[in-house]
Amino acid sequence: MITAGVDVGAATAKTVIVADGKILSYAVIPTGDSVARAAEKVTRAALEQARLSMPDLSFVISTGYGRNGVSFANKAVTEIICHAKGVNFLIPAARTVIDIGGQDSKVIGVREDGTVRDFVMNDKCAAGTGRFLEVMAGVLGLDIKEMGSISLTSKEPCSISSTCTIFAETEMVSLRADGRTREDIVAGIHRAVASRVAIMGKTVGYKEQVVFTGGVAKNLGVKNALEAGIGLPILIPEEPQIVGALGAALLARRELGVLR
Amino acid sequence: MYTDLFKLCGFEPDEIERERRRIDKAFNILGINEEDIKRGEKRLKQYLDIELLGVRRFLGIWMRELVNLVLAREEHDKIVYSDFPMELRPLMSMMLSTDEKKAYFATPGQILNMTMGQIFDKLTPFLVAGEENGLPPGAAHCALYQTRLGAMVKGVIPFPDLSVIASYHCDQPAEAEQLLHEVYGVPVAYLDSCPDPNWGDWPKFNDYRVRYCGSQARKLFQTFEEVIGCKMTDEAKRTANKANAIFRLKFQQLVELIGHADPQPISQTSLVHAFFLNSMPTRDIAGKQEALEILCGEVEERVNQGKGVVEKGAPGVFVTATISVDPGITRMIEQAGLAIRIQIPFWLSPWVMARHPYREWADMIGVGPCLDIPHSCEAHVAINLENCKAFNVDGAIDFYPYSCREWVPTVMITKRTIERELGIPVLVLEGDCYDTRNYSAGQLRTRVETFAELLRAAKAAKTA
Amino acid sequence: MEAMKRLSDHLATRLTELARLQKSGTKVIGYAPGGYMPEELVYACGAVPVGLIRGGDPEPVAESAAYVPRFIDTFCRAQIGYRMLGEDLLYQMIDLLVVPITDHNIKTIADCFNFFAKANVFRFGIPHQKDEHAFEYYLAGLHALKDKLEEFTGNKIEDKRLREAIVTCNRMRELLKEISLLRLSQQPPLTGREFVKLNHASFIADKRLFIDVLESLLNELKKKPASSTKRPRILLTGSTLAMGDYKVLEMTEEAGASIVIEEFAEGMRHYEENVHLDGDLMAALADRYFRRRMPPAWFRPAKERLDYLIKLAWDFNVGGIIWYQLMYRSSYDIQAFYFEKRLTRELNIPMLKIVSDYDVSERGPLRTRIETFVEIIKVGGGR
Repeated sequence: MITAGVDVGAATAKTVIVADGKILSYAVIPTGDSVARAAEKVTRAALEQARLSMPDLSFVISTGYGRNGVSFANKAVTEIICHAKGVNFLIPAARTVIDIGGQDSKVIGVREDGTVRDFVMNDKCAAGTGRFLEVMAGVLGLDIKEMGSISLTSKEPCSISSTCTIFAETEMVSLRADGRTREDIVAGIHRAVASRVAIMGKTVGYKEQVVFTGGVAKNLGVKNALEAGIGLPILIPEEPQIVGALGAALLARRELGVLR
Repeated sequence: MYTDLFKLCGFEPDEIERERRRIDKAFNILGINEEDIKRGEKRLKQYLDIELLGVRRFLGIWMRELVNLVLAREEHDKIVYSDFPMELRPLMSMMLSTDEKKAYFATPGQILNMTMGQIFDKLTPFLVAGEENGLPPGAAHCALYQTRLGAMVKGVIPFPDLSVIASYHCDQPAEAEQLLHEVYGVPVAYLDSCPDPNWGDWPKFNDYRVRYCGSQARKLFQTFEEVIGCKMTDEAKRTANKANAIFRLKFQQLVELIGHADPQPISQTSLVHAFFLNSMPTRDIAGKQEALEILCGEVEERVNQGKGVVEKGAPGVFVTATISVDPGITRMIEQAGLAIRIQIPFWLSPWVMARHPYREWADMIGVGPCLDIPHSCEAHVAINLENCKAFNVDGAIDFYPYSCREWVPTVMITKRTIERELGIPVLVLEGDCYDTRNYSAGQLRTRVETFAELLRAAKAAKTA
Repeated sequence: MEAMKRLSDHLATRLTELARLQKSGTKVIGYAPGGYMPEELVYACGAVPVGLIRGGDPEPVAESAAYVPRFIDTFCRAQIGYRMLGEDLLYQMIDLLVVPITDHNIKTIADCFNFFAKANVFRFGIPHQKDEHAFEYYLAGLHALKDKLEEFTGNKIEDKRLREAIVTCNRMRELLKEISLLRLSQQPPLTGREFVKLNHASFIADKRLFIDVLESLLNELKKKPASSTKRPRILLTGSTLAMGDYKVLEMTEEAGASIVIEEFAEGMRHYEENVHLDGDLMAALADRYFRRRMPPAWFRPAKERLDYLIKLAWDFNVGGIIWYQLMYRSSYDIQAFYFEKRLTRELNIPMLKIVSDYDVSERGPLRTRIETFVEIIKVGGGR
């Protein structure tokens, strides 16, 4: 029984193909301006890797912001449900998932069986998402990929307290003018993102193991700031970006009545 | 052009003919065109159980009031406005003390919401006018009050001769009416009280709070008599109280019937026009009671036949804040596979139904059942909890209007309390009851679908 | 100034002192601001009153998001933030929090302290208008407060002690008033910021020492030679001027203007009226704290407050009004709209409306607006 999960986010599209409880292949591409085209393209890429074709798939579940635009999906399920399932597969001891993507952030309480206990999400405000980091990287003239490692060299992170991305930009510029070092500012930016998400998640509550997923999970600086913010150690799966698509593929198996 | 629409609102062809001149005039002032009418028809068919005669009759009551409201200045001597969350019974007591020709009573915000909002989805011009005239965006002002202010400023509805408003449930209504007074010279009468019970007081009221509220109601009636030039009669009070009690208790039966049925027999959106007649004063007392009787009969039949709008065995939820201008949200919750057993504030909780020392007095001055929610945050949360228990729900959705200062502090407290006491999940949704521009339907849908999935999994685990 | 130094030395150790008093059995009674809680009642039962009026910092506001959604007045959200962050000793140490319930924003403080902090909270209500029934209501609330304080501290409030407390607090108010009114002069001997900080200190400092400081300070100020420069004069009014929220005061002075008088619902102690010591003392307290207190913006109708603001602007000969409110304080937001119209009509002086969310990055744009406003006044939009 081969199933696939297709996660179409605002920035990237991912497909994971699963068979016999194992990941066969996966692919990640930029979404671009067409959800339908991106879904098809990324799925074909994953199929190619596994040397399969579309008819080989018994069930496809789509998820993410563009989940309703995937014509070949049998069902659409929200990314929160899929994330919980995906993380549970990779790290069975996971009880809290912090997901920070390009456009939104979520904190999910997960049960032993991978179902969702509670969740909270922010998709209204750029602060506390990858977008915040992107904007700030732009102002500092840095590549977003460098941000994490730069922040780790900071001795005295700045405190950036603006709740609005636009104002934080201004705040950062004045810190620069005051002579604060680049690494202290970058560390401050990471703290700001982590702090927003940490406070948001209090309503769900943090229980170990805490797992960090989403595009921003690759940023060690944010991970460290989150750990400091919630006071618990944080695990990061090897490929944090595909967790949603993985969960979708696993849920697809359930649809076929396959026991775990 | 609007014949079909009005038929969907329960009008008989001869009434449409009789009222044609008035309807034409009102629609012209409101700026309702053919496109709006088509949209209205589509929305009614899409969101409500429009095949039910009871639903159509209720829609008709609101459409009639819309026309009455727009033409009020030329058809009546005096106009009195109020609006949610003002108590209905003092309003009705005042209204029934006057001759129909002499005084016209309305809650314009509600009337516009139920018609221009729910049916035509054409509130934005009023909202923008309200924003430009003292209730600006970005300050979380209540959109209900932006709507009615905007409609007055645009000249679509008349300014009243007297505004009557409650000054204790929340701050916004009284402040918005102060503005009407200061800028447009409208006399305002306030029903004042204080939301000061201590945590742990609920469900008791202290003596001096009740006395004060009573004194304010008396003051209100005096101002009314002076400004409108008439005397309040005991008979009017009795009639108002009796009619309200009969309607409210029948409505209670209806929501209990729906809440205990599986599958959910009608959409909760179909109850909204009926429910808000508990706060909109209309002289058509017989009409609204008849509509309710008809609706009850139709729902009973559905229950007996096991017909429903949500799958049998679906998880049941308690939902707060009936979305009065966007029936699409409530429908979306049902379409995600959740049976809405009960909505706040449809059901009268046991504290309200029980006899308490102030019942007769409260009945007399008309400050009865609504006393429970404005009592305190503790009461608000306790009532939410009680609703969940009474209908044995699997989860709760607290959709809160972001600009409501009374509601906002209760949200996280409600979530924690219900989760702790009943062990069921609670979804908090941030939105706006009166302005669709302040939330994204897509974002709400993601959360609701997730919650539905979460509840289904929990329910499956329980039965496994 | 010598007196000010004495005061700041005292304040630096005040919390330790309060903790010591608490340890030896004295109750520390915190209260939410608004001017409706008579400190006299707290003194009369042997306890110490402290006003919870901190504000201006963004961190407690951010922290509050875990307890209440953001759409409540900023100052009120900050209060639960201070308590739950646990860094401010004053917010942790109070044995009881008294919250006079004025509007729903203040009520939120009580709800959050009750539910999340599990603190002892006592509420009593403030009606939104001033007829005889409202007075009776407020008086009944004071009696309920009295009963609560007696039960909480185990000490009866006797007339003698209450009278003493009233005399002391009256003296403090008198002195604050005298000092404040020195600013009627065209060359005020103290700045708005200095007066506000002094006023704020009165919420925490030991009363006797504070009165002593005020007396010394008054003497010093009377002897101070007048400065030569005349600066544009401004009335600062609004919802809450919290302890620590000095940005508007600082920027206005730096822009070359003087704030010569303030009128705030919360954060500033009201000193214009004293308690009259005749007849029943509780009724006397109610008379001063409710009847004769200038109403804030959540009183309807608004006439009394607006008349008072116009009079104040006239008496202090101000060239402009800064209306400073916090985010989501709807009563003030709406009143600003129609008050400005009346101000233009009657006094023809400009008004600058500022809304703050205690966000750090407001500073830049704020400075620009205040500097521009001061320029406008200098050039003379005026009488």
